[in-house]
Amino acid sequence: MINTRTVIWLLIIFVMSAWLAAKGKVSTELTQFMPAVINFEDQLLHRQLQQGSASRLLIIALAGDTQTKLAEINKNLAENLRQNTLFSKIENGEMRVDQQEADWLFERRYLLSPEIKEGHFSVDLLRQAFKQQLEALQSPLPLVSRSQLISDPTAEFQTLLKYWRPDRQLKRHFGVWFSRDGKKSFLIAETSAPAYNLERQEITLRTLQKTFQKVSVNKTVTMAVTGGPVFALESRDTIERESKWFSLLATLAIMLLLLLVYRSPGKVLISALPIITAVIAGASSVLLFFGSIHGITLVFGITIIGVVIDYPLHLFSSLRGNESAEKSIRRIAPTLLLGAITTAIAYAVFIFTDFQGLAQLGTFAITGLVAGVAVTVLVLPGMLKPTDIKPFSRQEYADLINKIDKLWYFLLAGMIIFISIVFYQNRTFPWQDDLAALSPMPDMLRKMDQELRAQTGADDARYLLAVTAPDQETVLQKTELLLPELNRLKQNKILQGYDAASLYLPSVKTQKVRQTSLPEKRDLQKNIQQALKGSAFKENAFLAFLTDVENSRHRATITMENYIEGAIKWRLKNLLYPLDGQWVSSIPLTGISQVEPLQQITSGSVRLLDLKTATHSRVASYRKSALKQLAWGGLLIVILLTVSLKNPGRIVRVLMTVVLAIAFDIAVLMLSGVRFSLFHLVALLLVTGIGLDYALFFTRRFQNTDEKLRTLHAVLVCAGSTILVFGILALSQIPVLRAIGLTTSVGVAACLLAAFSVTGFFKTKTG
Amino acid sequence: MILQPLVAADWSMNILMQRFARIEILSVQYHEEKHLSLLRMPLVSEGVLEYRRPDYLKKAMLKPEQESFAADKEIITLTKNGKITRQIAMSDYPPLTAFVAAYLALLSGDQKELSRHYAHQLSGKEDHWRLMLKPKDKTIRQYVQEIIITGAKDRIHSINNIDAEGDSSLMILQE
Repeated sequence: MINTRTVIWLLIIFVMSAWLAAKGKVSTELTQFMPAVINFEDQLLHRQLQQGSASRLLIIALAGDTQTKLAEINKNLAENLRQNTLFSKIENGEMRVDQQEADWLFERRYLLSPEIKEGHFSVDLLRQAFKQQLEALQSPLPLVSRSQLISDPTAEFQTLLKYWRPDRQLKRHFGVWFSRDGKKSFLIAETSAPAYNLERQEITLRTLQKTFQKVSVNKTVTMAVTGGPVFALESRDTIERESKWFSLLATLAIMLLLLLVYRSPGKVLISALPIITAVIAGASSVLLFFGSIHGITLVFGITIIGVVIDYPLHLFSSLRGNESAEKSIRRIAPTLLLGAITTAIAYAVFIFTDFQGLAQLGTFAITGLVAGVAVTVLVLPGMLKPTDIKPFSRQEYADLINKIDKLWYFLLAGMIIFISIVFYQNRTFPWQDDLAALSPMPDMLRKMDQELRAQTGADDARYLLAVTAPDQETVLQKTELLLPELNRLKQNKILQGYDAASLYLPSVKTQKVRQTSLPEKRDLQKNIQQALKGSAFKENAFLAFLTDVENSRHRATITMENYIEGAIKWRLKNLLYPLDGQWVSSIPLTGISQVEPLQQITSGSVRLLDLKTATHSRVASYRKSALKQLAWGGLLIVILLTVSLKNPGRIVRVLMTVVLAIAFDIAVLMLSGVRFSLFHLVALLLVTGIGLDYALFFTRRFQNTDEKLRTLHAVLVCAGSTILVFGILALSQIPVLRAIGLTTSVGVAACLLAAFSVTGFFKTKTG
Repeated sequence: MILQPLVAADWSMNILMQRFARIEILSVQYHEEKHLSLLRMPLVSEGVLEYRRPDYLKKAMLKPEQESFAADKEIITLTKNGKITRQIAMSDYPPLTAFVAAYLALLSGDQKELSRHYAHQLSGKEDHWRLMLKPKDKTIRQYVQEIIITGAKDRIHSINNIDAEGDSSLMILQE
């Protein structure tokens, strides 16, 4: 039983498995699967999609108690989360920075505050400020801090904090955000971990849950969390769960079917070997050439090479009781090899693309198909004893042939008419470019997300302005120039709010202007004296103020490099960063009512990015590129078939089978309202491979009726098992699995119909 | 120990608190003087102090400006010229909690609650008593060093808040 080939194969499998186990890395970063980043705009988008805060935002809603209680829990939660490095930003309507950071910023208030300009400390303005401070002191509930009052009588620091408060159209009660009906209290958190780092995101969410349990003493209070990280994790969990269950179910079903057909548990086990080998070989080669395997490559790759499951079935059906399996395989090996190699070579075009994802997929598919067919042809026969499989009686066969012989042209005409009508009705092809529609998010979660986003105004982390310049200073100056425009748009209700680096870090130029606009000590002293005339304040009450202004005039200017670490710098880092030798200042915009006025303020160095459209167009360009490669692959298949088949009639019949099957599959899906995504395309690739196989087998030259019968048997078992497996997948709630399952099961049925009607299998005379 | 003899035998904290516990509604005019080291002269204001058992307290300044704060359960509402300017939860400002809690605990006769926030010493006689409150919490002592309340029977005559820097605000209540 065990021959040299088996030993070599086992050895190779063992080595590859060990290597995969040791070094195999499955990456899930979607951006890596996207087209290679070429121009600056792409890089900007790439960074935004990868690290942009939009994908890291969590919306947290608390409900189930009185407003004061909810506000208290909200603040406690925020306080706890702010101390946790897993979160880079916690917003809840409060403006809080820690003491050390606040002191640092307070010292630099006259460089930071946009209110500082010539004459800001004039006698009149000072007199007004002093009066206001007096009123504050007199108030029945004086909440002013005495030390801040004497060093900052114009309340510059309070003004600054007001500027820094996020612009969200949320009601605030007791200092924190509430929904319009006042029943839910909100926090918006930004995770430190990038969106694609699911392990860190998982830890982050678990920490959030734990922290909530700690601070919510009241058991009636509930927390709802939504946002990018939640979806990513939920999707992953759902996919893992459903994939596990559905593949288990599918495996059981196919085993049962094969057991029923071949009545041999050994054969059922052996039939799994080619596909297992194919997956291991495919994964190993991707790991070898790319260093890691993308999760999508794995899913798509396994789908594409699903045709390998058919190979051992062809072998089983060709077995005869009176000859060795090695001899049996020789009869079908040319057809098997032709099918596998033709399909594999079609994927070779994928390897030569800029798209890492496609290149990985091509590598995986080629290696997998070749390994699968190699194991079937070289290794499997050594494991099989000569047996005879008697699928049909001759009478049944003759009946079937008669029926199809009478029907095939009706079948062909019917299929063509059906395809024409459906294609005519759907002249614009229904593509699905919205990635979100493909995420396996439960509807309930999606609804909650929409609701919370609408309520918090976190709805549109969609638009942002990106300002670029060669250096930090220039980019800040350019950003500053934009702010008056943005404020005007805000007043005109074209946007609700924005955030900009220059709010936290003015350009050095601006800081210097502010410094020179601060009065000299002597002048300020005079102004204070005059302003205090007739005031209740003592003459020396504001000495601290005088010193602070004087110090500010000579203080070193602030830059990104010397900025104090803390909540504000965190914000700043997301808004101002170097990229590809340039500096970028991104200005996220919220609550956009019209896009056009925004486009008017763009220029060469100020770009308006629409993340949603950008993602859509990236998906579309990905698809276009994939389609282009597929067209080349198709051409390659035609050439290969022409060269190897040399029989024009057979070539036409094989190609027609595939084209008809694909067209019929698409038409059926269109009719059922499917919008096509990459997942459907990938499944169509599998259908192409299967269709090619069926057609090649049906158009073989048969030596006798027995062989024909065996071929029909093999193809029917293949089709039955494939429809069974993918039909089960089609029942899944996950859009990806459903897409692949539906396309493939319908496609295999279409292949069978097309092969029946086009190949002339039932008409060919046997020798 | 020194203070002990100063309190008449028939006059004690318990009795004072029992008297206060009987008060349902209170509304008195006040005259307040704030003495601050920053200022040349005291800040003078007038208004009405209102209390409703057990947890409503309002200080409405009528002169020189119309401004008020009202503590109702845990919520404090600030108004200016009759309009609400801000609503805050008491828990946001711990000093405020202690401050308001002291008055409410005192007026509602809740000695336990009062002791939670303040060390208290009562001296004098029934018709001329003096209650000194010292915050137990260190952070609160930054705002209020001590509160001295004087009165006769169940009537409060004056409340004097003294802070760490020696600034004080003396409130005289008029019938």
